[in-house]
Amino acid sequence: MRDTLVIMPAFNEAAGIARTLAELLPAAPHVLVVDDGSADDTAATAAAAGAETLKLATNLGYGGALQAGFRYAVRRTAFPRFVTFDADGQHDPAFLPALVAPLLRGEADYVVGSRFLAGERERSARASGNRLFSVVASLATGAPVTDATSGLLALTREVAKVLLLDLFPQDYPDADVIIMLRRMGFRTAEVAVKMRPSASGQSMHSGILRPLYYIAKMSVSMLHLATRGDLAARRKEAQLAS
Amino acid sequence: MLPEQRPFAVITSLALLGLIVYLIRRRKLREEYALLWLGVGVATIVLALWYGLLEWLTRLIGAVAPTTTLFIFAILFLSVVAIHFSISLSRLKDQIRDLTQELAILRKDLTGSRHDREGK
Repeated sequence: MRDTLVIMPAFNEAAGIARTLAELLPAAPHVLVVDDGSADDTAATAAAAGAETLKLATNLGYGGALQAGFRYAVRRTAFPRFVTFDADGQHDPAFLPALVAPLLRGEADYVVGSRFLAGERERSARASGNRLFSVVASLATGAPVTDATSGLLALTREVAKVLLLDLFPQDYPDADVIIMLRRMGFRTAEVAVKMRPSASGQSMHSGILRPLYYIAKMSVSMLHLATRGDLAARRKEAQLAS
Repeated sequence: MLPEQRPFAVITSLALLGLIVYLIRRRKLREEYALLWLGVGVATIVLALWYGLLEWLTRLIGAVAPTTTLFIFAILFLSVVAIHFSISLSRLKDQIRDLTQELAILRKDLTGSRHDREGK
């Protein structure tokens, strides 16, 4: 993992991020924590724990913070591949080698760590929406997609450049990004991982309105990216731009 | 239009136009919006003073009552304005996101970065 940069968006995670980093850094020495405009000492805590930090002046949300990390990684570092990792401790560093393996073997450009590949089941409105879009994404891409909302990803530098385009979703990469990348000619893969319950317990998808908004938004986004005609050209543009 | 309706219509239109001119002079409205709202102010005054125009418009679009014509055009206009604002907001959000990300990177450049030297 020496030549992999781990990008970790964090919003008000000062309480738990030191523990997450203490577990992660021995497995992956290069970690960039993107402090998404936190009100607490997330950035300072992360720096003290041994991570590089990027501090956003205002809260952009998970997708915007992630994209800031990609932007920094592409512009200012030479790492050939990146991993995205949650700050709340729900991801297990033990799965990183398996997650990166398809990239190293040259079999994939974008690898999703999937909770559901190994048969795990979760019963909630969010999980139902997740499964619904997984089925749609599988049909749209012709590749099995079991956990499109997973925040545990491994990707090549070339994919990171594409994610800097304005096509990148505002919220976070999801089934729509998988559809987009496959239509651009990238290879995506899934690796089975186990996740722990989030330490902070607050999912981005709780409530009644948010799942509904999520379903509507994803439908529009997937339809948009599944029907766009200029994706190959945008891929070239991304490589030239950065 | 009943005779007693006209003073109210004219006064309201004049007040609206006055507010717009005031905001432009105080530089609270940018030029692009200033022109738009000036147009609205002038149009309401014209309609308040020249009832025949409204009646002609009503016959033209096949509406029954002149009030319908007013409401149709008002709602259409406000819808277009709302769409325009949505577009502006989306663009502003994109610009803020870009600026925030750039600012973070530049701030990190200033404070020094380990990855500059190690990233391979």
